[in-house]
Formats: sequence, structure tokens, C-alpha cells
Amino acid sequence: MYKNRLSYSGAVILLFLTHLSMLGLVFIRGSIAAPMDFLKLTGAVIGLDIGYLLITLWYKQMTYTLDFMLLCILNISLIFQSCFGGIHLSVKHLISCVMCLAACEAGFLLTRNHEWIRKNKKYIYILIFILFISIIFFTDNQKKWITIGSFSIQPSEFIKPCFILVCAASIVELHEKLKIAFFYISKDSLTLCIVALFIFALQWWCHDLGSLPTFGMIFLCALFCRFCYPKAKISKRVVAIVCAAGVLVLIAAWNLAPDYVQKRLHVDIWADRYGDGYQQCEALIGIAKGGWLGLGAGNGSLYKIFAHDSDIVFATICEEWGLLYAALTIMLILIMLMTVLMNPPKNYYHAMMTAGVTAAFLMQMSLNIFGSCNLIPFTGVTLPFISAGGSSMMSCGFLVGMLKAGQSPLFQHEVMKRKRQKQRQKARKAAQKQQRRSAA
Amino acid sequence: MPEILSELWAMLSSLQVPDLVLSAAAVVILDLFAIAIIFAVGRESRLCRKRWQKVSAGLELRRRAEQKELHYPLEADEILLGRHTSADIQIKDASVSRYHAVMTVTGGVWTITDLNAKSGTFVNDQRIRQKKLAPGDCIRLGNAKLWIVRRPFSEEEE
Repeated sequence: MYKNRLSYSGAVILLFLTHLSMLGLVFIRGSIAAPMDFLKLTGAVIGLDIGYLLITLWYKQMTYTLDFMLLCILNISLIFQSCFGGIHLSVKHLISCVMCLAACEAGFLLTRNHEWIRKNKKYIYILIFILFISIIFFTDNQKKWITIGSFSIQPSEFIKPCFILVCAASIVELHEKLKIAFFYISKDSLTLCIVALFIFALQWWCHDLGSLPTFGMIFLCALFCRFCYPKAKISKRVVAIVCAAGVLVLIAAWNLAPDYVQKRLHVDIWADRYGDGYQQCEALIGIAKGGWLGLGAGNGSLYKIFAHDSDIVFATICEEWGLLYAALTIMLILIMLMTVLMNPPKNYYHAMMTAGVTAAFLMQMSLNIFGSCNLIPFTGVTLPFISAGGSSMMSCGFLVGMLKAGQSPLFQHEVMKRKRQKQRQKARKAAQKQQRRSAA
Repeated sequence: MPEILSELWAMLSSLQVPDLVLSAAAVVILDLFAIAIIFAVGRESRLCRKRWQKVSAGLELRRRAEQKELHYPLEADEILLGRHTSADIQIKDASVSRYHAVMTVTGGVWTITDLNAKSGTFVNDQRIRQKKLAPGDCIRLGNAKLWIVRRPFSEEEE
């Protein structure tokens, strides 16, 4: 029984069955070279399931469904990643999954009290500034990575959750206005625009134009929520203006994009099959080879291609597991995002935060999947929860923690109540001690 | 022991199950998990609504307009009142500012704050900048009057 007094036995049993059925598929259809590798993978998946489910029993939350969804997706991802190029336990991805779960709890605990996070917003600006500095001065030659020994960190991934927190605001904050010349401008909106401008400039400087649409989408979503509050009717005029502005920005970006981006925008992948179109051609052939049910775990050939486990991971999964299973995994991520619509947050700050997280995930998923399928130019963005990469997984975990915070928020009076209870307990203990001393 | 394990492994490996049946079973289980989660979210949503009733003290706003009684449930911790279409509670009256006032809740106590509206915000006929509200209080925004009252609980909520 969980702390919210609901029983999740059905969901938990099906969670185990989902992973066991996948492992069954690996066992019967996969190419297992050494039985020990398969047993290690099974042990890791079941261990992660049991371990995290036991940990969740300790947490006092209103909702647990996001935890189950995250755990299910992460273990599916671990099985996928462990089967590329033969069955083996991908220890690196297992560590990434554990880090993702830890980041999820951290995100939840940090953002569940919206009043506290609003009061401490200045620290988020400082954190963004530190990340900026680390990108400008510590990454190697505009490659976005900080290398420490055998580990590589991508600081720009951590800007995403910070930027979403900056985008979120309460109504009261939005109505604190400054008079600049003849205009009344919301202080919070002005700061947001400045931060967004810096982030876009940094992305441009880093040549990380793949992440730019994700940040752009979060920013647009924040503007949209500011002009048309999420719980209210939408002003058609504002929607029209925002859409028109978006189209203008897109046209401008299309024309002003640097040469290497223009090349990608206009490349004919089949004409340049062994050049710029190599990855996409191989990805499309892989998807076609896999068909509905796939070739079987570890039987694909896409693992030989660069970025098979990150940028074109959707195609690699389609080849080995089939389009049906790949589509269902994506559906699972979409359902995780949909839970937020079924149980909407009860405060504006969390509503705006949730909208930002959903926008970021949807944009990132679209860029990766449509890029793999050659429906849009290739961007090199990771698929949330599925692609390999510790920084990306941690960032995604933190974002899910933010979604969870919207589902089970902590209201200020509850914090005060807890503090008072603790104080009373302390006072009682002190009184008991004194009584004992006086009796002695 | 290792011999038994290797025999068991060989026996299991020799099992012939059609690919289609296996894949279909895996897909069905994944679908069932998704359905179970959707049902669980529904139950959690009801639980959250009950909790919200405690946080918001089960109050709502009522207004009489064009011989009709309008009910506005207070379903967020910040409720924007005004004439603008994007306000949570839209009051189509020229005397009401576009963003007139905002209501916030902490620990079951609702507070109304005036957003520098031209025609002012009144509670029980007293002009206010910020005031805590109690059930039965009358809020006046320009010419529009609203009452804060206890919400009748539905069977499901009880």
C-alpha cells in the first residue's frame, strides 16, 4: 500500500510483465552469444524495478503513476541499448538510468513547493550564468562537451530545466510591472526575454542549432501562457500574432542559417548516399528491414553506424524490435506527458512549468523521430529516455521530477504545519529529558 | 548445479514459439500496462480533487447576471478576475478592468488583491488593496457583484 492509500498492484504486476515479456523476446528471438550476458541483463532490469519500487514506498506523494511510467520506459530503454550489436548488459546506460531516477527525485523535491522556488528564482539565474560560463570557457573548441577523465558532460542539457523554471511564473509576479518609456512591462517577462536571448545567442555561437528549436518551443510556450493563461479562454488575436511572429522567425532563420545548416536543409540523401546523407539513408533502410516485428534483438546492422544509440536510435530500435514496438514505446512517453492533462496542476506556477516540460519533450521527440525518418532535416537531437547519454538522461529525469511536482505539490501551509509538528516533537522530547533529570 | 542450469538453458533455447505470437503477447502486455496507468491516473485525479477541496476550503464564487446565477469553482491557487478573455473569471462589464483583481489561497484562506483597477475593488462595500475573504463576503468589481460561498459537495467528492 502506497502512502496515498491507493493500491497499484495491477500496474506493478503489468510493469514486471512488460519487462519480462521483452526479456522473453530477447531470449527467443535475440542473438545470445553468452547466456551469462543475458542473465546479467535480466538481473539488472528486475533489480532496478524492485529497487526503485521499494524506494517509492518511502516517499509521501499524491501520485505515483509518473514513477511507474518512468521506470517502465527506462528499463525498456536499458533492454534496447543492451541489445545493439549483440546481447550484453550496457553498464553505462544502466548508470545513466539510475542517475535519471535520482535526478527525477531531485527535481521533484526541489520544485514541489512552488512558493519556495519562486522566492529563490535568483539562484536559478545564477545557475544559468555558471552554466554559460562553463560552456564558454571550459568546453573544448565550441564542441559543447566538458571532458573530465573518461566522463563527458554536456552543460547545455542542464540549461533546459533551469530555463523552464525561469519561464514559469505566478499571476501575481506577472502583474508586477515596470514603466519603461510609455509602456508597462512585466518585470518577469522582461527578464525571461533577456535570458532567452542569451541562450539563443549561446546556441548559435556553439553551433548547437539542433537544440535551438527545443529552447524556442519552451520560450514560445512560456509567452503563450503569459498572454493566454492556461486555465482560461485563448485570445484569438494573441494566438494569431504569436503564430505570425513564429512564421517570420522561421523564415528568417531558414534564410540566415550558416552554410553547414543550409547544406543539411537542402541535401538530397539518396543522391549523396555515402556523403552527407549516409546516416539517414542507413536509418531508412534499417526501418524498412525491421518491418512491423523487427529482425530480433541484436540481429540488426545499424549498430555499425555513428550515433546509432543516440541520434538515430529510433531507426535502430525499429530495425531490431520492429515499428510496432518502437511506436508503442513512443506512445508510452506520450501517455506519460498526457497524465498531466488528466490531472492538471492546481497552481499557475506548476501549470506553466508543466507546459514548458511537455513542450520540450514533444519538440525533442519530434526532431529525433522525424529526423530519423527523413521527414525533416537531421538535427542530431537525442530521443528522451531512450538515447544513450548521461547528461541528457539526467536532464530528462529532472524534467519528469518537475512534472511529478505539478501532480503532488507541497503547499506553503503544509510546510508550516510540518515545521510546527517538528517543533512540538522537539519541545516534547526536551520536556521528557528534563523530567528524567529532575527525577534522577 | 551448473549442469542442471545448462540443461535447462538448452531446453528453453530449443522451444519453438512463432515470432508473431511472442511479439503480439509483448505488445498486448505493454498496452495493458498503459491502460492500467490511465485508470490509476483517474483515481489519483479524484484523490487530488479531494485534497484540493481541503486546501481551497471548498469555496466558490457566485454572481447574478442577466437573471441567471453563475457559479465559478475556485480550482487553482490563483484566480484572475477581469474583463479580458484570458481572465479565469471573465466579467463582461465595462466598469471592470481587463485584469481587475487576483484571488490567492493559502491554508484554506482566500485573499483578494486589487491589481490597480480604475474602478477599485470592494469587499462588503469597503475599498480594499488586499483583504482576506470569508464565506458570505460580497466582492464588488466596478458594478459587478460576486459572493464567496461554500460549494455544495457532490456525492463523489464526499
